[in-house]
Amino acid sequence: MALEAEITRRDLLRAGAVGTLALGAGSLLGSDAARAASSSLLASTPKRGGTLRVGIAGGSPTDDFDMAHINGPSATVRGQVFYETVTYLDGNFRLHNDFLAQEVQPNATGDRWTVRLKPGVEFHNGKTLTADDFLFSIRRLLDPKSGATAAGQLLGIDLKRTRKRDKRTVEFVLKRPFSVFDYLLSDIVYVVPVGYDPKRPVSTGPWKFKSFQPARRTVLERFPNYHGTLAYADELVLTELPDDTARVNALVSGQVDAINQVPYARVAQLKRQSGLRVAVSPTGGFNPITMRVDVAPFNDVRVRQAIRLVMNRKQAIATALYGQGTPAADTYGRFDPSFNARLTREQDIEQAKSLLKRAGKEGLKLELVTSPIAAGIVEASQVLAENAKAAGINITVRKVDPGTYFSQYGKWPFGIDFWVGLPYLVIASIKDGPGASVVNVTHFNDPQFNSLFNQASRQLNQQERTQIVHEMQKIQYERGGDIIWSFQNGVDAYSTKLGGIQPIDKTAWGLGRAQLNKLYFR
Amino acid sequence: MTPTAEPTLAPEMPLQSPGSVSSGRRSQKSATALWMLRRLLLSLLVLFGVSVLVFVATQALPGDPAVQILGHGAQPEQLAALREQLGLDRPLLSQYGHWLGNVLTGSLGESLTSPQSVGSLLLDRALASLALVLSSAAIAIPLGIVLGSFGAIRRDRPFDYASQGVLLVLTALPEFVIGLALLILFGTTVFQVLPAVALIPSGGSAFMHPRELALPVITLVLAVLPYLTRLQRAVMIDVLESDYIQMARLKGLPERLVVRRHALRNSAVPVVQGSALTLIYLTGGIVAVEYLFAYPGLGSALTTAVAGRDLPVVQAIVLLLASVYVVINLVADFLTVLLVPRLRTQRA
Repeated sequence: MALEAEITRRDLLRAGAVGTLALGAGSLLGSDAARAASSSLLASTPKRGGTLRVGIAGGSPTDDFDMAHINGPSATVRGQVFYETVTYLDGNFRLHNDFLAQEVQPNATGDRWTVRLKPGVEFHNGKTLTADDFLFSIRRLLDPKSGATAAGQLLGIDLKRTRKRDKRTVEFVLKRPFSVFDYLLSDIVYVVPVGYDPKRPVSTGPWKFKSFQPARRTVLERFPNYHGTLAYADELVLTELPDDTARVNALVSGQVDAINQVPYARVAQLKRQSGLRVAVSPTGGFNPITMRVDVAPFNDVRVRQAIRLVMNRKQAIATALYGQGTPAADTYGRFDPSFNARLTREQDIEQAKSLLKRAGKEGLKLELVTSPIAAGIVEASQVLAENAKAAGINITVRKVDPGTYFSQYGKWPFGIDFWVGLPYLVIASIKDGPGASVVNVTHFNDPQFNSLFNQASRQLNQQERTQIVHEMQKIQYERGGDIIWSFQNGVDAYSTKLGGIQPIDKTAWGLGRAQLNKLYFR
Repeated sequence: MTPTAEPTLAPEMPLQSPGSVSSGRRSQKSATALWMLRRLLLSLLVLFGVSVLVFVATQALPGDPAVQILGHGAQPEQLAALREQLGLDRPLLSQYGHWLGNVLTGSLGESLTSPQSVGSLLLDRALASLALVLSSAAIAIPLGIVLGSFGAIRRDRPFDYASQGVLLVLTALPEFVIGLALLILFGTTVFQVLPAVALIPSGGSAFMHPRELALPVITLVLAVLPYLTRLQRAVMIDVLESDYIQMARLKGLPERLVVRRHALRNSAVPVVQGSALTLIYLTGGIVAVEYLFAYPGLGSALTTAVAGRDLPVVQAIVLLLASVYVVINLVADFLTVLLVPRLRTQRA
């Protein structure tokens, strides 16, 4: 299945790069893809028309449609569906430097990046995409007043020295080298035209804005001048259904055609249901249990390693994720080409006990603060507490609501976190590398790790970089503050009336990287 | 769940001033008016108290609205900028004054980040909730009166036993459970005849979507019906055993006439109070039911606003619901006074 999805994607993207805009070409492409794939699910000819209804998790009455505000699961989906980035990381974890960009080139030291935009990409308001628009978008994201979610990851940009070189070219100057800046640009760095008004949003995306009601629904329609695959459906309705049960019910009773974030407990049952197709994808997303390495008792690496060793990861995956996960070994970056998959960690109570004994921390009493901020994390916390008893560690699990949890985010000595599967160095740059601040909840600040991070940031050669990253992952494995116990699956569900489904999305963003323009009614 | 408080069978009595003993009709009328005015002012005082409570309670909620809006990865300078923009950095008393000033001038303030004002954000949802409450009440109240009266007339007969049994079971079930059972039965698993989720687009009236309304309304009707029916039955039994009914029967009036003209009318007062309680209960009960069916009303807005720490929205909804309570109580008391001649003329 992974292979088939890949072929479809590659074909469609190649065509997108050639710049096929005509309506007919879009469907021709689809049938090409269908010939290439043998799966019966892809064997139907894509048709235009219809209203595609998708139920999505999350949603708050305070949400808006601003390209800068990508806080929470529903804003994430809306952003991906509507806005576009210059580079694009696909569901198979391949980066496309030719999405809105024509090419993205670093200098030899990795601290200057030249982004040349594609010609003739049109915004919904008829304006053609230029370097000014791209720069405007970056400046808007970095303006503290716009409250942009992406601000933290863009702090490395030297805005004063970054300028446009010509009508379609922007030269970024970075405060320090960053060898995966092109990956960074693919993550919620959305491009809007100069003079962008968040109340009347426009983008270069496949869907034009029609209406938006916070915590209720978003209505979009096909943008006929889209630079990629024209949307098959005439109209797209995203309905926000924060309650897991309601979301599943809406799909089962045929009120929506697809949903994201299927609760793990319902996967087995929905798979048996006729008329539905459950898309389960392995991802690099992870929901760690976090220990602050700067406060007692976690400032003792033996304590951290002992707690990591007591957790029965397979049991946690079976109980908390209903089997929808793969054991992890306290480091991240799965599916990144530089990920070291050879690291593993099994439960070892004896070693944990001996570590605690050597640290003089026998009979440890801890409070783990947890909150339902991600599927299964509360249950996983309880599994850890249960496992820890065997090593004489007494963990009290305190469950708080997400609002309370986030108000003290980064302060809890023993807490939790959630991450989608971004590339390794992108995560490290925000999470525990030398520049990390707000989301560095483990307060990890390791000189050797930081120095390796800087080396990797300068290293533009992928293979050389992989060597360095493996060393970084080893450090996290040996003395990091995260208990990364699993990479969880992403689960979406679709009605079998739909074709063009891309079941694999390793990034954990979901809904096949929200490529809803490629879904069609059979 | 059913309302636990027993309805007050007699409303607060109009106060008699010693000088009014020998007064005539006119002063009786003005005394009633005075009493009504007093109740009205008291209600306003209650609402003011509620406004203070709501404000303090929302401030006591752990959590930071700025963090909720910007996300957990927000930079400190972004948070500072937003707090300043929202006035969250000002002293509490000044924030309260600002909010109360807004409320008194009819504006519910600005939502924290939504481009819409709280008022426009809530109007649509308030109308949707109103549709839900009114439809449920319009079915439950007459049905409860009919079932209760019938049970009283056929007391200790098979119909009475059967209806009492079923209603007792319903009383024991929380509405969330009733809703889930209906959902499984009619929405998803057994029969797929009714929409499981109330996807009602905003703008139009919820009454235009009877199919979407069906399951939430049935749930709410089943949740309040036991209380209403049992109340009506008890009152009817009391009335049917009273002397004047005996008298009417002895006079040889046909039973139908006895029930219609004498029994039903005399059972009206407790039922008005009971209906008021039912409406109040429904107003609160929508929170769970709206959440269950993803019904786009005030209840679901409240749950998401609390989770998102959108304090202006929380304050506005709670104040609105409290006002509904107060107004319904007020109307019920006024109606009772008007319905009971004794309460109007007792002063003499």
